[in-house]
Amino acid sequence: MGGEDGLEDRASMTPAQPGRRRRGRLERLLSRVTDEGIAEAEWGDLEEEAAVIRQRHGRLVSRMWIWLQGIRLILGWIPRDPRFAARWVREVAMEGWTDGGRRLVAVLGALAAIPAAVLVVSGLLYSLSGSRAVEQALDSTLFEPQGLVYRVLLHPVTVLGGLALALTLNLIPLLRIRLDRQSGNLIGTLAVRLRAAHLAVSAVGLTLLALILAYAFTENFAVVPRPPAAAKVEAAVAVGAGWTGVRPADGEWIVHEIAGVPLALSASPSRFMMFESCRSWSLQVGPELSSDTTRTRELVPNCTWEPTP
Amino acid sequence: MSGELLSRVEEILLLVVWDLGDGAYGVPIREQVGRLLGRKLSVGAVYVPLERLVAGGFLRTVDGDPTPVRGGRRKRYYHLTPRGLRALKETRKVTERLWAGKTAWKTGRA
Repeated sequence: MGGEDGLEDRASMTPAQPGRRRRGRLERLLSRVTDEGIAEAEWGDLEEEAAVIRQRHGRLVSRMWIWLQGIRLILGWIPRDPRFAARWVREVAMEGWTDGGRRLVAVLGALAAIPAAVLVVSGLLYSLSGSRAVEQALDSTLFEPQGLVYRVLLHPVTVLGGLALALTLNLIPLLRIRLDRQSGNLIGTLAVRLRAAHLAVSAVGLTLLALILAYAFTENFAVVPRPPAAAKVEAAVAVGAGWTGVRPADGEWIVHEIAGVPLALSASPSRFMMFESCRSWSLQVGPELSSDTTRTRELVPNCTWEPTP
Repeated sequence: MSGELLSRVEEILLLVVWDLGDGAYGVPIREQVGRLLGRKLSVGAVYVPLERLVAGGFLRTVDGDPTPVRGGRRKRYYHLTPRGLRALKETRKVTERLWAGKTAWKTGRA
């Protein structure tokens, strides 16, 4: 079958290499973005064409060509396979870890969590030690606002970003998530692998995150006592010699002459305030002003339990 | 079959696979498409639609034997399926209907 086509015949003029060649990085990557069999066939086609290019233009050009075409092939597969993301997460992020890769990830995660650990430990020391010497030492080293440590190591981006990185790097190799559809229901399974290094870094990271969040929550949502609410002002009616006064609940006094001319209470608010607690009022024109009621009217409260001023 | 229309690239690939018969695998398909179009397409531009046609049931594949020049990798031969043939005929019919009576293009009139 295909052996009769020109390309392979031409390519076969180069010394044959029996057996399967070791797969390169790009070929392994290709096999991760598409099916293993498809990747094998496609890379075989690339090798076959590259053999012809090698004869014409040399080994360097052929290797460059195969790399370029390989990259384009991989990129061509990525957006066209809707299951790529799910497959990648399952086979690469969750499964595709070597022992060395896992160790490296655990170490990187632990390093990334250091700023958060420094912040939490120093904060606890500061608030719980009760020692002035410790406080002064921390103030002059970690908590010095102009210091590099404070500005870089304890910067929120460094602390929270490092923590997020540490958790991401260590939780992905730990967790295995499966979603299966069974008789119309979507069933999710979460499995945690027992990998000591990842578990330790994840546990420390989650603890630090919980402490930081708890501190931020209590600081931001601290209970501050409100000022006492003003006493409720009850409705009242007052009657005086030639005057009536009405105060609605939580309102202000409205005082009328019996003849019907309104007179604002603001004429003498301070004096009204003095008798605010009186339940029974009588208002009358002050004796000193009664001779000239058309020009100035002073309202004088007359509390039945208080002596008339 | 009705309404199973192919894109232009899919139509070309199916016709090329049909034309190549038993020798239709990646390298000659890409060469043939390049000859027809007058330019060589990238490897990805051929393989990705080919696999889409396989997934759609228009093509089926048969694995060949590993060969030394391919580094011991197998070939993947493509064959037209009855469904692919029907889709080609349907696409051709639609194209012919669309072109029916369109002779004025030679004079430049719509």
